[in-house]
Amino acid sequence: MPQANAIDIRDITKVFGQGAEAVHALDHVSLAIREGEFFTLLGPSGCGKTTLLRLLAGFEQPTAGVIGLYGDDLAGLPPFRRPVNTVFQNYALFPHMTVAGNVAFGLEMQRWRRGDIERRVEEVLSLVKLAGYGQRKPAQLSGGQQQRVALARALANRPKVLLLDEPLSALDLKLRKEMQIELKRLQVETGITFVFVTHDQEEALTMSDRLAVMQDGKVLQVGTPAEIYERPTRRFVADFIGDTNFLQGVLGRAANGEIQIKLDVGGMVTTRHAEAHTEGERVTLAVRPERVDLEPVNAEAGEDTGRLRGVVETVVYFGTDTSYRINIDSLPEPVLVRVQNRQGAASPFASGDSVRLRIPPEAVQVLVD
Amino acid sequence: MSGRGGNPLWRFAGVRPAAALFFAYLYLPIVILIVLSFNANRTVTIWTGLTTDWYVEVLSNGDILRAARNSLIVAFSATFIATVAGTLAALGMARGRFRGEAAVNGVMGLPLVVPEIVTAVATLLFFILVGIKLGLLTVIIGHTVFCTPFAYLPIRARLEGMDPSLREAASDLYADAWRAFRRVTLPLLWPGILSGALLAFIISLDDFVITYFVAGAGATTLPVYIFGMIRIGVTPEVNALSSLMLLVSILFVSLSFLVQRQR
Repeated sequence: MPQANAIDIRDITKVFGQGAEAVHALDHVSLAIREGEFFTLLGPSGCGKTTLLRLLAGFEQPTAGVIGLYGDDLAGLPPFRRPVNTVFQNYALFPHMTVAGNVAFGLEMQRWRRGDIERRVEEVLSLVKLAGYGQRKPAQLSGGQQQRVALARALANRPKVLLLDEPLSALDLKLRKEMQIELKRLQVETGITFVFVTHDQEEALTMSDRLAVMQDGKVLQVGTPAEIYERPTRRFVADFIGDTNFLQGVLGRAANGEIQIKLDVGGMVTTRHAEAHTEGERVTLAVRPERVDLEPVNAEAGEDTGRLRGVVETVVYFGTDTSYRINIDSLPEPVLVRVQNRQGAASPFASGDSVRLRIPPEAVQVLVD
Repeated sequence: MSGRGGNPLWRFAGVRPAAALFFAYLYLPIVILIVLSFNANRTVTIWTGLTTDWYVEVLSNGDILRAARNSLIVAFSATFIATVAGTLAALGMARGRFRGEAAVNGVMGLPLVVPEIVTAVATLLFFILVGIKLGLLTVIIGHTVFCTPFAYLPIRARLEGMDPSLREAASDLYADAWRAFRRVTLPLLWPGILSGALLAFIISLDDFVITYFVAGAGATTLPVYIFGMIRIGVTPEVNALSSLMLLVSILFVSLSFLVQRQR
């Protein structure tokens, strides 16, 4: 049996404004979010990720397209009739109510019995580690605690899907790291489907089961963090997540499961994946800095495939690794290479040294565009 | 005010005396009025001793009590209508931008800048044209008109300062529009509504010009009554009555201020 989809987004378009001032916040977006997964919408501000979340919550209605929740069409359903709950970016706690009052609000609106409400509030407050804080007012809590109340208030209703709109962006770095772990724990413990919006690529990679990278109202790529990082299909995705070197070349013929690519800068590399392309096509390659090895230029090299000559421009020591910027003739941008530091070893290369870059086949990702 | 340096303006010679003079000019007459309201001598300029007789006289004067009753009826009615109208207007204006919003906002505040005498004459003319007999009702209608912007402004300001995501949060937590309003918007708006109402109340209580024009027989309010007494001469009763009105006004302004400050 295939895993059930919690949310089916089919061909959603959202246009704000009219005529010449119309803004396409979402442009034919389709996504399937599976039951019980931690799904992240990742992209820069203005990419449409928050708009998509607001469409799921019901604060906005789509201009075109269908949103299904466990097969039910959500069209026209106001927020208060949707079995989903939201954690707002600024928490949006009711300042005139106590913490317990805030958490109980949704249950009261659903006409739970008083005793059940009290029990549930206790339960959820201890779930977010705020047991005993029920009688405080939100203003008496720290930012991190307010964040937990916002989570508790949403989780109390046992939503089918929890929507989180950049909930960690207001916290300082240390607290943010803590809450990342906390959120992940809550998601695993409750088994609730999380849809998480963020512009922080590291957050997206570390927390998500799967993520969608968005730009200009479009979904560019959907996949697991490893898929997105290792196999980006678009230049924007490769560039937005982590550091990437881009090289241009022409696709050659395939042999032994490896496809040769003749680089514009001279030299050859091979890759194992170029399904979307045919021989003779011009392609852009994405190469992660840590997948490239450096060799001294005088080393016995064998054949030249997968090797490029360059000159070290800068060396930056990062503790766990060392980062090199390598100038290659006729490349406008230096190539970034990151080498993990071995025990006790100082950098074998200095600025001005001639080096060879070894780019193994698995380091080469051919982009779709 | 804080620290050794304080306001740099204090460096200039004459700032202190000028400020003192200004406040003296503003408040000294009022202080004198209050002091004289306790003067035992009927002649204003001669101090003979302390008495509260004038207050007793004021509070046992049937005409004054009737005028006070009228003032309160007018103030409460006008305040109620103006506050309800102001609240609805503020809620409506906060719903979203629309064509002509700036114009509507301007018109809403217009009663604050139109010279009162113009409003008074126009209102009187209107009542005569429509054929409404002048009385307490016409005073109430007149007061409602100029009280509404005073009630509206603090409510609007409060609403403007309210996080719009609070309403969304209520709606997200299964509250329909009415319950979101009752449980979230209204409690948060309450201080604004109360302070708007209190402001409207004192404005109504103090009004003379419009009341003088549109009050029919038997609809005399306290300010109009005081004006009538003054024409005969400034008596200690006038001082006592004015002091009482001042007390009520200060009470309401302080209340409004306190309510506004609390969250």
